[in-house]
Amino acid sequence: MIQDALLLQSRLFLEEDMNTPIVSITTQNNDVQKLLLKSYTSMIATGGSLSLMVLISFETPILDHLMSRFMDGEAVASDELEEVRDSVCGEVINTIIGLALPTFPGRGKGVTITPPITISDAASITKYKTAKLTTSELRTAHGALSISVINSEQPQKEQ
Amino acid sequence: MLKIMIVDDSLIIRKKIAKIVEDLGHSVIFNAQNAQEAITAYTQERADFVTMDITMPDMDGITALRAIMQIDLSAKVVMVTSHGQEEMVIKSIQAGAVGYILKPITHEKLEQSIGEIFTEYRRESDEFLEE
Repeated sequence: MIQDALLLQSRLFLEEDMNTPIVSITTQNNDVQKLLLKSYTSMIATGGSLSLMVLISFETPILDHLMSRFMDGEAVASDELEEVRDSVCGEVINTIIGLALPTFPGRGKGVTITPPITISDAASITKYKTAKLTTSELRTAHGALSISVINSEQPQKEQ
Repeated sequence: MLKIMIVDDSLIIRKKIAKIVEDLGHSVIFNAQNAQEAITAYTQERADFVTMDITMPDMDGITALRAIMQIDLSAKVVMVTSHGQEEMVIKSIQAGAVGYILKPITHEKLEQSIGEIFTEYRRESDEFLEE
């Protein structure tokens, strides 16, 4: 249900707000150890009545395409390109979760969300060894992004 | 031309709002990436219109709004918000915000919001000139 809500809002955001049609969507349930990140990833954790981690991971071409949409085609200076890319990652996940939250169980009441965090490697997530992972891959003509939802349980102690 | 202050921790949103504002013929007098910067800047120079992100680390937009309203009771602050933050929007309006813009920000939404303030600004200017 959470994944469906995120997918619906992702579709609306990409297709209606960013004018970027989705070509295909595939969804897989997996062990969290199988989490694969693309070039740029942002994460938001939810707390309160719903404890989850949501990650959106972007291939560089789709991220640059979305950045161009945000900037109405205006070029970004090379010295601030990485900072702007990170900012776009954060803004996309923030917007999608914000849109999806009222459609979460209980209309999202009592759910808190963290600010977006940039993630550069999966190790910080895969420590949640017993967590369940659902990943949807959204493919567009400009590249792919993935949306992963992780039921964040307590990490197992290292042996 | 209005003097506009942008307060948002997201670089891309600051850039987007700045571009729209300048395309509309107004000037951005300060681009604040956090609430404290905004309060300090507003103390030094009052803006005609402030766009204020609600969710920011360290100090949220409502706290910053309250601080700005203490500096200037006639401040025109519009909150920038996402769906799911309705309670925060209500608190903002109660704290003195003149409106809100729902993300994603578009040229049309911002133009409408500024237009409403600009009408008020022009009316006040006309009244001042008539006196």
